[in-house]
Amino acid sequence: MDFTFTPEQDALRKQARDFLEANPEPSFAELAELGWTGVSIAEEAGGVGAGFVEEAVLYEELGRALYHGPFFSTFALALPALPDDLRAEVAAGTTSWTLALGPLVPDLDTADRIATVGGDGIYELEGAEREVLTTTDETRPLGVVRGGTVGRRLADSTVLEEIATRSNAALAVEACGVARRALELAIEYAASREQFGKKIGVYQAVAHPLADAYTQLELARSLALWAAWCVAEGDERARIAAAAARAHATEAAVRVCETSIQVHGGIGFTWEHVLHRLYKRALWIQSFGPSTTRLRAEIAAALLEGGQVFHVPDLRPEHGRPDPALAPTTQGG
Amino acid sequence: MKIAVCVKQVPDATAAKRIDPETKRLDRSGEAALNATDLNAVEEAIRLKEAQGGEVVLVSLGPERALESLRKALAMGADRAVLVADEAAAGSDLVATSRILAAALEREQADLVLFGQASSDGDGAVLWAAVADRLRRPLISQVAALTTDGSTVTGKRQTEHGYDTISAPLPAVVAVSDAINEPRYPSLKGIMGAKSKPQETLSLADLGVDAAEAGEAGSRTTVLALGPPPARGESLKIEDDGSAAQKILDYLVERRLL
Repeated sequence: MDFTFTPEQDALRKQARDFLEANPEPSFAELAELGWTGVSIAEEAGGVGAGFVEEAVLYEELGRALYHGPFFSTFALALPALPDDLRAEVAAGTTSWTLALGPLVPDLDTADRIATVGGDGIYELEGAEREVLTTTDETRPLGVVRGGTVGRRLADSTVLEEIATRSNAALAVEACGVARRALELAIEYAASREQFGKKIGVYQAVAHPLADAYTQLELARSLALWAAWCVAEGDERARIAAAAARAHATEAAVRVCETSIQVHGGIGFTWEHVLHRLYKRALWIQSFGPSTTRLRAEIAAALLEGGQVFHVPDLRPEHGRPDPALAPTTQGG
Repeated sequence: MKIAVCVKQVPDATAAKRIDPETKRLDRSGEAALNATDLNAVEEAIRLKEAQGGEVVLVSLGPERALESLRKALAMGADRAVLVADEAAAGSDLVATSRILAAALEREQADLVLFGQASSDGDGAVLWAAVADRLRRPLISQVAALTTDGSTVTGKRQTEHGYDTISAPLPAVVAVSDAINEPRYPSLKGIMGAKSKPQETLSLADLGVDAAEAGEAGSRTTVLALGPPPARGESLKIEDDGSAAQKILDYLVERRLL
């Protein structure tokens, strides 16, 4: 199986990075012009008909750029609940959404419409009063909604599992984008800043934490991209892959940002430097929704459910790993 | 209206350049991209097509892998690509390159041929003139604004002192300046669909160009030497203790630069 990105996915990443560097604060309409708001929406509903891997490329680059807007809330949270007519509006860039899963709702400052979970379904919440709170991460504020009336029924509550999976995978990939930039900044700084007549990168106290950060990030990214692939392919492991990716990637992102701040010394603490914003986004991802402990409990439950050892199928010869030395001697179950 | 845009794959601007000491050619094996100022020509062609209808064809000379870079222009909105890829064309100079491109353009019979300002690797900025001459078509260069009514093309040429407004009957060749527009970012749909657009690879034989008239054999110039820019000479580092401005001034006066 070929796990490399396709030339189209590489082109999308390059274009996304160039665009976001030139336009750090794009509007939702500008993203629509690029076709990003139609990414995984079917062509029949006015979208581009690409998959979750392409969407993941965008989460990673938007995370890297600390994009402030309703992309995550629209695509990772609300989209699975939206019927085709509303998806078409999203694809056209005329409507963005957020979803009130809990008391704290993201992107209330930028999302056009609000969906809410109630009883056995997901409904539109109309005319609700929004209060955007002052939160640590200014680039993705949380808020609360009050009042309002329950409007159109959008979907059955069975989509909540898909929403959890997509948002876990999305945040895992986004965390990798955040961490990548923090690590790049640290490497650049360690390779240029001099102390005691040498570049600080030659000192083990700087080099070793950077190597650790790199290792954590690469592992996290492999997990996150695997999760994205599982979501794209509708693989049965998607839910657990996304939980595992999120648990690992969020912690890795927080640690990579902390390492980067340490490597930067005094300048890493300044308000003008971008590092604290990356760090705060990493902390946001860690704090939103299920904790990493909770995610691990879910993974454990799934691993042990029915006595099935979750990862064993991967090692069977018919799954592309013919090495008999790697095959389990006894099958789980 | 049929518009042909001549484009070139060049080494990526951020990649380190290496010159092969044997062939005295630029090592093109690294990261590549479509020449930046060619994107202005592609953008202008797409705008003309969007306003007046027609077809935008990319015409390029380069190795097979240049197709990867052409896809970026296809993603922006060009309709198809024609790449002349032939071992015998490697090392072509201006004379040989213009011969090959002119042959490819003759085959297309476009109403308008657009070029970018110059390639970022060769930096010649004369190829469009040579191609126009071979095609025996009028040429407007350094164009910062372009209009056409279907039978003539009018370009505003940027000069030191202002603008020249020049009209020419179609078919014509126009070299645009990088001031003419801001190239668009390809849309996601464009990126996903670029691969399935028609992409034709031609050999010199397909164009009826004799191999002896292409490549180094068909070139009229010979590269005698090509080297990296010389390392920067002596530099003076001034630690600012309040007198830096005076020291810089003294330095410049001493070298009669002020």
